[in-house]
Amino acid sequence: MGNIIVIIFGAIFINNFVLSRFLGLCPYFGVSKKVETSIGMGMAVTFVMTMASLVTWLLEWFVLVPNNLQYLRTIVFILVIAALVQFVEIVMRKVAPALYEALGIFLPLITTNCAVLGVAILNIQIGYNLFEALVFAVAAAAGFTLALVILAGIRERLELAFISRHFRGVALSLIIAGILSIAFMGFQGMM
Amino acid sequence: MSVMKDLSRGIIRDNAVFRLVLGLCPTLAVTGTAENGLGMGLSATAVLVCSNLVVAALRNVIPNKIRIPCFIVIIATFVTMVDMLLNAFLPALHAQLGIFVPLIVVNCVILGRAEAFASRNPVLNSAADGIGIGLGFTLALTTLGAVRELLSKGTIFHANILGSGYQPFQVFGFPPGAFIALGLMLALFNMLSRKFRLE
Amino acid sequence: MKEIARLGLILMLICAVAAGSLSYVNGITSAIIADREEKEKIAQMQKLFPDVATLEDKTVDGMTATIGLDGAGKMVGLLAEARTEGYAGTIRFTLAVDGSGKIVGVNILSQSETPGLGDKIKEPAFLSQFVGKTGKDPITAGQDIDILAGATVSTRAMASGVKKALAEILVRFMGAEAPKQPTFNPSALKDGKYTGTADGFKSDIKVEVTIVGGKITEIKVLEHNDTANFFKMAEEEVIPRIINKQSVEVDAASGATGSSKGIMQAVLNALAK
Repeated sequence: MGNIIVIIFGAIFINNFVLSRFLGLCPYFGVSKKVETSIGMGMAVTFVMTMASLVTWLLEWFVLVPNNLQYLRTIVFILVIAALVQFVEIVMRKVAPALYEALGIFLPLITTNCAVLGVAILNIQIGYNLFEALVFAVAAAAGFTLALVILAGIRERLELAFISRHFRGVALSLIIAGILSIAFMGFQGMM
Repeated sequence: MSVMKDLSRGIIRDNAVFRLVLGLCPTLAVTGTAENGLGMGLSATAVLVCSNLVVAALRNVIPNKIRIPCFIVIIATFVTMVDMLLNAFLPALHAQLGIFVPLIVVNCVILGRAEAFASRNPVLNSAADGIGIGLGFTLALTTLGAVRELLSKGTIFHANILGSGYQPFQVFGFPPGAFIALGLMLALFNMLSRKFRLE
Repeated sequence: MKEIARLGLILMLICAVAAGSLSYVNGITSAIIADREEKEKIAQMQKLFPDVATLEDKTVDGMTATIGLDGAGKMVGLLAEARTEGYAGTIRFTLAVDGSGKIVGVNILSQSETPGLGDKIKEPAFLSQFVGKTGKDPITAGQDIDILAGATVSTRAMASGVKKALAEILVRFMGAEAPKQPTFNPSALKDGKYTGTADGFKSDIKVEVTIVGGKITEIKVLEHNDTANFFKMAEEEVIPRIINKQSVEVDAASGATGSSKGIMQAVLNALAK
């Protein structure tokens, strides 16, 4: 049980996917203009990451390893993730059209969100069992969402501030992310 | 003539990192030293050139509806090859780059070039485009790696630059330093490109 | 329908070509990678044993060792992993032994001893004391292994762990004969008092055993320096059990296993002469 708490706390705060492992940066800077859309994006990523972890973990241990095909891991995982994203897109368009409109272009981009493929590969590399892998995926996605919502909150306020035109846009977001990352480094002392 | 243009365009004018702000994950993650930045840049370039070549060659064969999955399979194949070759011949670099070698698959620069350029242009131009964008990416990664290495260790490519009396700026070796260094470099690039009217 | 079949076929074709070319590259590189990993392992062994040319992994009775062979196929040394119970948990270490049964190096893999005290066991100054020891040396804390200040239990655990691991390695991989388990038969012993010593939890325990008419009638502890209240528990529970059963194969007092085992071993040592 202690192990599970370590995984959750570690994935959200200490090795935050965005701020410490550098995974999922494209959507991080792309969809962090508004808090509302960032929460939607976080939920979509959470769902895709958990599903992807489940499917890729099963594929790895019941298909690839027994057949000695681990070298096909990258190609198989990315195809599974691409198919999953398509599925989520279709469902979301039917069920929550408003959210679908808001997330727009970024939904297909989850396919190329390295956080999703990253969590699938990390699950295998660290050697988690299925339950640990699922916990890790949910916690990692929660960490991603947390970082995304914090950045979106700051950026909403910056809309009203005067900013040197050279720094407008991603340059300033990067520096804010750097400061957030320093704050998150403080959690390292807790383990 | 246009082949040369396709080649040169990606290096500065359409630089993937500084101008288009794509492919950020590896850009930030593996640029603790100039050497790692160069290694990652060249690995991604190899994948980009090969995938551009194959996508351009097959552009009339691949049906439009399933082009994205096809591109992904092609890219993933080359990424896995690069992963294996690095593990076999450059094990030290392979260990340093770690999970970011398989993650070249999801580097938006590569899929972006396959979709935006290689699927509509002849083989030669696509290869030139791949080399240009790849070199631009490598240049960005190496520069960022060099800046971070210089600030955090006082060295570039392990060669001591700032002398032994230099008090290292440790934070640039850690994740926060990566964000801040790239943010500052982007601002600098914005300023320079305005000055020289690259728009 | 026909369209979907056509698309599926094309996608499958591309995947097949991809998988085929990957398995080809994998065939080439996996051999090189395996070769390199083997070379790295050999290089690591060569640091310990310069004559190593090839390696062989062998498992005997649950203990796995990497055995280094020279060009002629003769064993020049081996590296094995072992464990011992320290003050605060299991200590995992590797033991490198050369072909003549001499310890070449001890390396701690993991430990959780008290920082600043017990964790000094991982320092080279402590570990180098084991180098050059053979099965004939005592390898006992306080004799040929210096006790670390404030870390008696950790030192004793390492000393007895290395001693036991070395003995096991010599028997399993180097063809040494297994030592006979000492036994005793009280009815064959003459009446009188017998003394014996053995390792307790953190000190030596010395006992005096009285035999009357072929039976153990009394066990008296002459010396010990274990923690007093734990030792008392052990003494009060274990001694009546031994006298009752006329054997040292009895249950240990829970919570005082180290002291209990020490008493049993001391009685055994006294009588099995």
